[in-house]
Amino acid sequence: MMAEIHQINPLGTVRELLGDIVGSQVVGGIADDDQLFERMLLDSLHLITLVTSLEERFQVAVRPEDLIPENFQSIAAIADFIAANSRA
Amino acid sequence: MNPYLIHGALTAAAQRWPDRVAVRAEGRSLTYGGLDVAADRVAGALAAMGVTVGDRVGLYLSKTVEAVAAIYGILRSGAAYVPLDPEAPAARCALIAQDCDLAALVADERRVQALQGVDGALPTRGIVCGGQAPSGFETWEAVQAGAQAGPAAGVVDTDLAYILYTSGSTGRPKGVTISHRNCLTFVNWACRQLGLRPDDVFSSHAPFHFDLSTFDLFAAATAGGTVTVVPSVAALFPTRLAQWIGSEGVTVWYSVPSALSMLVQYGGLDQQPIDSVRLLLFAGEVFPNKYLEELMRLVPQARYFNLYGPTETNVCTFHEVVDPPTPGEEPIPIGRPCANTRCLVQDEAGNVITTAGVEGELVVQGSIVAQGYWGDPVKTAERFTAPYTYRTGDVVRWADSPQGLLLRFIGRRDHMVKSRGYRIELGEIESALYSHRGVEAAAAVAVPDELLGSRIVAYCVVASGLDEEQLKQLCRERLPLHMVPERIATAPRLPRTPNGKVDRTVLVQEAERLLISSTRSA
Repeated sequence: MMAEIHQINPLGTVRELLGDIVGSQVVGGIADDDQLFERMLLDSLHLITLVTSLEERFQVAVRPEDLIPENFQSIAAIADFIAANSRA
Repeated sequence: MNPYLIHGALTAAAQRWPDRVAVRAEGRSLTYGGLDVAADRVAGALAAMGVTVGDRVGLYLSKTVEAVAAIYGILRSGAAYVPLDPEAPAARCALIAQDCDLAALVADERRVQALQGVDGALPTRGIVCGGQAPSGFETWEAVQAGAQAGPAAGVVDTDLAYILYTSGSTGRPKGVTISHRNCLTFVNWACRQLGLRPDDVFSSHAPFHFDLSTFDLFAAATAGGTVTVVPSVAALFPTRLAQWIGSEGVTVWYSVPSALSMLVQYGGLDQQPIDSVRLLLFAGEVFPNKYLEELMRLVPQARYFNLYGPTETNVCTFHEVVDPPTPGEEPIPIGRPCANTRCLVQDEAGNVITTAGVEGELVVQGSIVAQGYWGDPVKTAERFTAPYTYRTGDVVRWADSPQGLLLRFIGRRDHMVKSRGYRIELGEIESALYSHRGVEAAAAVAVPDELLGSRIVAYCVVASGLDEEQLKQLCRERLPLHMVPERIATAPRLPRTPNGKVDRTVLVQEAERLLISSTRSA
């Protein structure tokens, strides 16, 4: 059941998970296409925490070759990556 | 050229290898000749602004070629440079700027504006990189079109070269004061011990406010090699980092172990070997055997050195790791003292322990030891118990080995923890939380983490209405990113030991459960 909801709206869940890490106020001020790394919003700990929570929540396996800027540069990019790889 | 001063290394390199690349950052580079001239123009501008021997000049810039030129320019002006964390909240940088009474500032436009927002924090003079210069400031372009000044006269090796601020347990960052002599004792040891060469390419991974950066910058200049700044995207994405190491031809890598653990776990090194690297140096925290063993298998051609030392002692011990360690066994030793350095293990009464296996506090002596804490004679006297003597607060013991006695690190005597190599005083986090009137009690704890050193969780007793998000926001406005707790839980009361102290053991167990449940079901 939950999995279907995520598939319909990964953007919302990605925002929520990112909000848990950097703060929902901060995430509220970021547009879906804003570049996350230009604004130095995440450090390496945050990135690994985000990857872990995405893996748990969406049942995706993030492989080394997936951990690249193209997949994580914006909230929209993360949601697209999830939509393309989620097994749930 | 004065070989006793840090900037003497730049002068020598510029004379000997004027056309060699000194620094590469963000796709731009400067030769030693170019860096020498750029630094002299910064020194000229600062001298014209009245900066003189004994002053402090702030550096508030990201890691650009200009920042490197500014560092040498400040040193040549006779002042000490004070690197401010370019990503930390302006309020914290303002505290530092005021604490050490900056005579001038070199910063980019955005950071000048950030300091302008805090009353009295912006020095009245300085250089701005990019954009408009406020009153009293000059633009970088104007400075680089202006007059050159050589090294200021009357600087000696016991003068301050830089001040590095680290986390302070009372809530204020404390500034470690390092002289030219302190820094060069380390740098010259490193050049000889490691056999650094003009054809070496040094990675610059650590930020300039972190003491690992002084090796990257000053050992490279002393050896005549090139220092190349790790792009911020590569620092986040391990496969990009592996590609970047290869394309830059890095031969000497130096970082905290967690950066290397990430590279092992997510870097795809089996697909993309980093075969240019000949020296892999790490410091700042314990390298888990599991990741070090795998790294040594994936990068077999490199030599591995574990370097140890709090900011107050530069690097004071080293250990070459020859055989891959066994996962599950005790961590690799921190080794033996660097040149001109003495390490004493002392018991509680101050007696020196020479027997292997007996634990005590590590006390470091020699010219590698910093001068003290800026403007804090009380704290200085507590830890710097004599000139060139520092009580580390680290518990160690001597251990027998085929190479003789080696030091092993056991743990800390206080509440300082490390995360990604950064020192974190839990008291500073608690102070940030207490700055809100609604916080009645606060305790921060560290949960050990193999990959990252530790993860921080805080517990608060709050008056009413304050939630986790508001408490985190409070921390974000006052603390650098690496100090903001991952989770802040509110509780009706904090657990206490029978004698009334906060029971941190219980809190750590709570925090472990909290971190597990938040990644499982957030």
